[in-house]
Amino acid sequence: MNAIKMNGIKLSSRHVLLHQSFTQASDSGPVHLYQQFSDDKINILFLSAAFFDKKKHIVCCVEPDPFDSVKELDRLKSPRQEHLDCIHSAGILSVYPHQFRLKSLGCLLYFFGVEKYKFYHLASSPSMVSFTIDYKDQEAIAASLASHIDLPRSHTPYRQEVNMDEFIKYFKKEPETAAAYVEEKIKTYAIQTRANAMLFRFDIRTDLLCEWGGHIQRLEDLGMRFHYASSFVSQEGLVRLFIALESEAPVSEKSKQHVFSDIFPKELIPYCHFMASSDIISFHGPHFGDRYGIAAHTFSAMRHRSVPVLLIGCVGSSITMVVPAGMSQKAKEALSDFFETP
Amino acid sequence: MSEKQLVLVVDDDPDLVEAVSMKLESEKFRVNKAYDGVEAMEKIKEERPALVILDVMMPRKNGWVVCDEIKKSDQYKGIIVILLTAVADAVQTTSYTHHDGKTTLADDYIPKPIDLDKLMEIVRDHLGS
Repeated sequence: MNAIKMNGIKLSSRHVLLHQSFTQASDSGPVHLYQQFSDDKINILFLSAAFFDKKKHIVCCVEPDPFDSVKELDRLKSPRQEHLDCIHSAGILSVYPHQFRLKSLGCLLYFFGVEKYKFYHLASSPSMVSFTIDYKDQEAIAASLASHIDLPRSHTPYRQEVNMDEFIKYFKKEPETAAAYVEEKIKTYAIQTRANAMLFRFDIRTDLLCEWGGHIQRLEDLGMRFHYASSFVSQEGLVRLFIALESEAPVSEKSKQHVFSDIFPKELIPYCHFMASSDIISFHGPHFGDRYGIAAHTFSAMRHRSVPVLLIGCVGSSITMVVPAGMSQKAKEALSDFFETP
Repeated sequence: MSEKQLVLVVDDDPDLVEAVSMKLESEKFRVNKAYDGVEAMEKIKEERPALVILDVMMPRKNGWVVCDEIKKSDQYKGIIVILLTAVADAVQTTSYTHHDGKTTLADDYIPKPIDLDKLMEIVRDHLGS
């Protein structure tokens, strides 16, 4: 298998990973939690949620302090929440740019499968695929991944840390990261929408992850690319992988369920589920990855205009949502109520 | 038809690189991308761009150093450099000023958070397109 060309691997500091799950239809649980984060000025560094399965999942990574305290976690529990799992030592490994290529996504899944490294969740932005992993494994995974993908010669995994001393040498006054944005409405650089994607769910046994990674790569040869991907682990230990696909050739409503019949082995077909025709909306703003309140604003915006969100991911400085087909314009209007849009 | 001019976009935020690149491509520029200062210098040497859009705070080699290296090199000093930097009405806690921005060797700068349309205007002005 040819190595896929990528530009970089980014690692995070240690985070606390919170995983909530619900079975009730109400979305008040996540809104409660994320409003609480916003009120407490707590930044969310990664978020991924699925709201349309029987069991709804919402996962986020936050700075360890103050969540290392059990008392603090108890305070976050909402009445409707069924589960709040917590991993105290998680990291985020991001790879970029994927260029919406299924070969990139498939290659990453193949890597985790063949090297038997564990990841908890994945979610994508328009440029990155991010995985939540055990913090202690970050360096080993990054080193191993670097030998599976084609990176620039000079590449070293990048940790999101700033060397202020070096910076101040060139900039004698206050450094730019001291800047605090004071905005009436939160600014966005761009809101992009894409209509009529096909949202699929693949139920993947972890021991077959490398095989699935290979099949997903081959989808690109059929003229397909992905616009959003995320995954959660089911109670049975299956990786539930959601991919919003776009095909160069039009696919009729009837044949969407069978789109993989010619590529995937027969025994895997029962694990491919066409979920819905959907629209993708993604937006990106200044330092979104370093600021609190962005997720809460997004949830509020969607609730305010009653836009059902099927999937949402906050990765890097972007937010991507999958909404039912035909809803992207309404979602865009909803965002305009709460964010400054270009 | 004239050849499309090459613009190098350098920022450690891959999503920003993507957004700026898409905008430039829609304006018919060719785009190359780099995600830190070291990679930026490699890309400049490989395929000399007409213009570099350069973030300041980056890992391994920051934008000030990259700008200095470009502008102090006889070979590359003709490359137009636009710095992306935090100076705007919305930013209240930095003392960085327009004047300070102009003391660098960069040809121009645009305040962060950037206005993509304004950035395109600056790029077009400098490249005469």
